[in-house]
Amino acid sequence: MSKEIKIVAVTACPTGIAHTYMAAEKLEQTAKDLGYTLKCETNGSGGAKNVLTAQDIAEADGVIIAADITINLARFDGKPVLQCKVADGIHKAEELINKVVNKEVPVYSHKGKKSDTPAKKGGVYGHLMNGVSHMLPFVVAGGIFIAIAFLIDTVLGNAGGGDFGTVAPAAAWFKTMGGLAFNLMVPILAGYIAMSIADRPGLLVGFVGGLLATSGATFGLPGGDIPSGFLGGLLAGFAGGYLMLGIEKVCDKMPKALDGIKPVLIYPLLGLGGVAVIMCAVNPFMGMINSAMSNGLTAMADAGLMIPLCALLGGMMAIDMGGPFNKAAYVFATGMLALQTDAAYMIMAAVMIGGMVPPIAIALANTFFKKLWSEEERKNAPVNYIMGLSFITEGAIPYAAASPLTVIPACIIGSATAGALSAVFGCKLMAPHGGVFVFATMQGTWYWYILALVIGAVLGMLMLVVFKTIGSKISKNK
Amino acid sequence: MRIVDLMKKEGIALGVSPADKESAIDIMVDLQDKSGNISNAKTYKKGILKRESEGSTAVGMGIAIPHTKNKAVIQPGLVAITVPNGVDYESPGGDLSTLLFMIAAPKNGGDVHLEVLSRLMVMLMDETFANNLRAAKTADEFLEIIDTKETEKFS
Repeated sequence: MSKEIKIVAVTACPTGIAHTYMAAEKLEQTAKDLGYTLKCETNGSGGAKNVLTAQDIAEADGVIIAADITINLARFDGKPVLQCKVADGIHKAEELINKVVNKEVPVYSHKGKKSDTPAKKGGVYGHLMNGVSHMLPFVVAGGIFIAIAFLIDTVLGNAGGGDFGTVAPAAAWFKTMGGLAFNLMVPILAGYIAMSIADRPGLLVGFVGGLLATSGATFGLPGGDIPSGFLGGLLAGFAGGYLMLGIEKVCDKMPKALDGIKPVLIYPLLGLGGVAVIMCAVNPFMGMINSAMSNGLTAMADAGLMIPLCALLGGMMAIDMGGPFNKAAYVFATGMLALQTDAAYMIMAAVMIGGMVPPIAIALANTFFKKLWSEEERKNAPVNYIMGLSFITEGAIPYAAASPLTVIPACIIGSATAGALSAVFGCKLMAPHGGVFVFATMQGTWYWYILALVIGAVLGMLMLVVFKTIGSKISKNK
Repeated sequence: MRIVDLMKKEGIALGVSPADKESAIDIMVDLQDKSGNISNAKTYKKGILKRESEGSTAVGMGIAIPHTKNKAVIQPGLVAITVPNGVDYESPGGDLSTLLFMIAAPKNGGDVHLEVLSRLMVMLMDETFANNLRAAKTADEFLEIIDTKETEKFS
């Protein structure tokens, strides 16, 4: 007897309601009648079912793709792949299977990069990337608009003040519009992470959870307190998504008569309640972290520990890019500005440089070490030069969200170094933001400041390379 | 949810004889309307025709499954006709269609009904089952055949 023949198949049609499943059944039935094993993945409108595993594909003697829509074939690289209409899967099933068995099918070679992502992205990384890729356009468009606002105010000679970027009406317009896109960043991230986990019912919990992370709502202050930033957004996305899956499980036990109102009423109600409770419970801890840090920073400033303080502040700017750490550092620095002392100006300089390093380091790493990044990441990287130079730390968020454990530590090292150097060189800054546009207002110290920035960014880039390389080695060994 | 939960007696017409594809569609759209599944027959039919223009939903073996996800759909539902003399539903195999189901799927909302429908699609690939449906004398009998088969195959 010859070796058992195994075939895998994928079926899909434009609407994903009828033919997908008919073709799958017909192929499986026919294969069974002929004495072969056939596993069929259905890419219907309810998402992919019976998903082919990497092992299924590896063991298969051939692949049948019966689809009227485009199917990503990357995972079938090197396999004999037979492509046909979904209808052929139904009434020509036997012919298709025989073609594969008789090896009349060309071996498929995928031109692009080999990828083992299934049709429906799964796993923590897949969910994360679904959030990040949807967030990217908001970051890029918003960031550039805000940079334009700074540019306009610089050209018109309005640099340096606390309202920099909103002085000229045109600048204010750009800054507001860009700000709107920015405000949606964390909700989009959380929303699409949750949607990747729990499909459509997840969207609501993710979006609202993300908004709550942005506003920092608590039970006592539902209107918002200390934002938990993008780290809170990540939590909202994952907690919200899995919460929704849990709710669906529990609801399975409810009477069948309620099936119709589950997706429109019960899931959203329970989901909203659940995610609101989670986020309001988590956010106060962000407030506590925030005030503890403010106290610590004040104590360090009082003790005159300028260089370690500036290193710390720089590093804090890179930890969460808009969350409690970043906010504590930034608010502390702008609060100090009111004292109008040299120490306050040095602190402000360290904070701004700490916020400028991460996007620049990431952009540099994308420019010089292309292999470490996905195509999407590389394409968006040049914008990070602009955002970094404009002190828009958020440009780094998509990269940090995609691999927090490698990107954040690298950015912290770069930012902390830049902050410390800025203090060592005695750089003083009176403007609370503006990036490269306010360098000219620095009292004769801007060239030292640029040196600190370059060193911090290059160090950050090198750390990214080191951590990313280690990170990919660890995940390969798993 | 079971398949028959998506069907109503008013949505089944046995032994009809439409002249062509379009009139078969009209009959079934009308059944959807009578079953209270759609709010606007015109909009719904447009969706059905659009899907047909991407390729006939006749799948051979005398079966056709016109379907659309459409904003005119109030609730997911299924109607059926049997055509003893067959109708030319432009099947790629050239055969006449004798058993037709038309699906109404809401544009938004849950996907529960899709799983239910996929079970029916799987069952239709069984020729004996399809022939039993063609031979059904009453709507009640038609529904019962489906329900029995669903229990047999999926539980």
